[in-house]
Amino acid sequence: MKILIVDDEPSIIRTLRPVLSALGHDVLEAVDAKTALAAVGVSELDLVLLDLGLPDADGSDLISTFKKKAEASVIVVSARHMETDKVRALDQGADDYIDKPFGMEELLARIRVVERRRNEARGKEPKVLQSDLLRVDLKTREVVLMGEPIHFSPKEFAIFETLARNAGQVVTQRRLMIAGWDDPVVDGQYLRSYIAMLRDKLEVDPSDPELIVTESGVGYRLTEPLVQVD
Amino acid sequence: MLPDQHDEGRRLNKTNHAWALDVAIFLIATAGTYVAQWADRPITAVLVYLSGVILIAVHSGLFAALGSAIAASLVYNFFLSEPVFEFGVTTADEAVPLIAFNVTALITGLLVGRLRDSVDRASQAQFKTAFLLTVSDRLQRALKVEEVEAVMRDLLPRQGVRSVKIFLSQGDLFLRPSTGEIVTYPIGQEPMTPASAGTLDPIVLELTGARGVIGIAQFHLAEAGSDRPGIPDLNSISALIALAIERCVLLDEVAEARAQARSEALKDSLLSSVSHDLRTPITVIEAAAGALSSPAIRLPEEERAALLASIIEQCHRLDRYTSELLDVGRIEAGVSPKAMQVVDLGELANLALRQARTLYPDVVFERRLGDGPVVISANPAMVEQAIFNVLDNAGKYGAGAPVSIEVEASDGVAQLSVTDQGDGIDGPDLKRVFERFYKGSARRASEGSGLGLFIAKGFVEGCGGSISVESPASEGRGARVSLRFPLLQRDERNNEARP
Repeated sequence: MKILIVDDEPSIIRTLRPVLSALGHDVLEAVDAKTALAAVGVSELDLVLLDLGLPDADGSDLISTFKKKAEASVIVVSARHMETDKVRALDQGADDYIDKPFGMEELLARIRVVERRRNEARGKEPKVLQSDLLRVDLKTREVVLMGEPIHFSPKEFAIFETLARNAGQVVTQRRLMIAGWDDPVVDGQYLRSYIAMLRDKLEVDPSDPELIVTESGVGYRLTEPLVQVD
Repeated sequence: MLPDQHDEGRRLNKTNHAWALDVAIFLIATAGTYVAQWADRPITAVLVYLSGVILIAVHSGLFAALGSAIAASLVYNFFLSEPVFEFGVTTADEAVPLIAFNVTALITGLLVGRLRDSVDRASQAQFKTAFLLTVSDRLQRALKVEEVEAVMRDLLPRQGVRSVKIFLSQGDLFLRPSTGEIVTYPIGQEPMTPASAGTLDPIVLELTGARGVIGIAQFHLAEAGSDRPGIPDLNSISALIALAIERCVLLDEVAEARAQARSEALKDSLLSSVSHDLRTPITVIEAAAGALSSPAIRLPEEERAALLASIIEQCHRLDRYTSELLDVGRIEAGVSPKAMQVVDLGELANLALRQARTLYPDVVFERRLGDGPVVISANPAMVEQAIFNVLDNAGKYGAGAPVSIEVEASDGVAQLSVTDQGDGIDGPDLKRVFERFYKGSARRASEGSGLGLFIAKGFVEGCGGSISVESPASEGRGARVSLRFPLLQRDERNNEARP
């Protein structure tokens, strides 16, 4: 993939560049918003690793440009762990975010999810999403966990489907509320109780969820690496 | 005004003078009348006497007028009118002067008295107004509720109010800000009106502002007696107090809101500085170490070496930042006088230069030191750190060009200045370079924490010096930071060297 790293810290670019290059990616770099926007016009981009704290702009203001002009995916990388910043970035179209400091494995996993989804997006509308553990049939609304069919109410499925279609990435509460209730400001308690019901049906230990994890103050993430099969 | 002993004395004196003048007028009038009578001008004689009575009435009022009229009647009747040396009224001609004296005295005296009363009332009203103006003027300057109370306690005794207490309402209770005393409303009684004054119970009035009742004022009157020039207009005074208190409370709120905003801004910058400056090195270390240890990532040998080097570099950076945060803590703690020593500013410059040359091996640091030591009193570790921070800044932003450091002594001032040839500092940034966490707008991308010059300023000022910056330094380029300390004279050095 062609990856643009936007970070005002040269040391971070210096560390990420050799690793991403070694994995076969083309790496571009920008230390401020001006350089980053210039890069958008010059070459096609697949992914932008975007630091929000840029010297000349708020990084989240660049997201829509990256999405619309370059059709690039955006992973927000930020040292200020503010939920409001994250939600704002995700609402503006960022695909995912990761907090500094991050483990290299973690970052590479997030990049793989973006890569897989970009490849899928080029194909047609998914019918079935599948992993070793889980199979989700989007047409028939059948969910099978380790060979066992799981029965969901229509609302439960609507919420689960949104998580499954974005498997591996964070989904904001707002998006889940729209999926379940068509209302972005519905009482958060509704969403929490539906997530609890999903966990009851899917998790080995619903009190210590591993499949549907909470991203504090932001939303939820389905950790299972579902891929599209036809 | 409350008359004191001195005033009392003056008043008695004045009364004596008044009597003497009355008697003098009477005697002159009597003499005049005698002369007229002797010249056989009886009408003139009566008119002269009458004029005397009118003058006395105008001068001393009704009672003096009546007294002089009676005296004039007797004297006239006994000595001047026929038959002489005999009392008695036999003809109408004799009765007319006597009636005229007394009627004139009565009417003039009454008119004068009335006139005087209204003059008194007017001057009293004017006095009250003047007092209220004084009160309002003095209250203008009060910034705290305690000061409002102090002003009133200072002014009111002149008005026959022994003392005043001001309470602010705090829910159901009332708090006296000047002493912390707390009372329940309404101090055991209903609030009274000034009309019920006269007793010695305190008068309690509500202080009503734009937001309703904001408190109460408790007035203790002086004992009723000659000393007290009547009850002042307590309602108006309460209104003035309420106005002043409301202003004080608003001022407090504004100040509080400002302090709050300042501390929020500081917290915000602290938060973002700490999160950025601590997490960036940790991010590099974790990511680099993760890449080196991952079997899935195969890197060429020179890349592995570069990642290891950046791990070490970022550890140094973390260490530097930790020291800076500790330095900020030392600034807040202040400089102990015990830590002050007699030191050579040139020597400290050399020590700082050595560090700077290690950190910036590619930058030329030109040293221009004068002959002999430039001696100041300072905490050597702090001043060395301050000089190093300034050199560090010059090295970082000097665009690789030579940086010069100069130490000189003149006119009782020891000055050290560091000049770089970088891009300089823009006007808006120039004022703020010494602020905590402040990074110039063009410089945020670099790895500074925004603490270096803040610490330099804190340390220099803590040691009794001052720091300033100018840009451009020369030929439209660069910046010059100057540190100034009071130069120690020879005898001072000896004193301080052996304390």
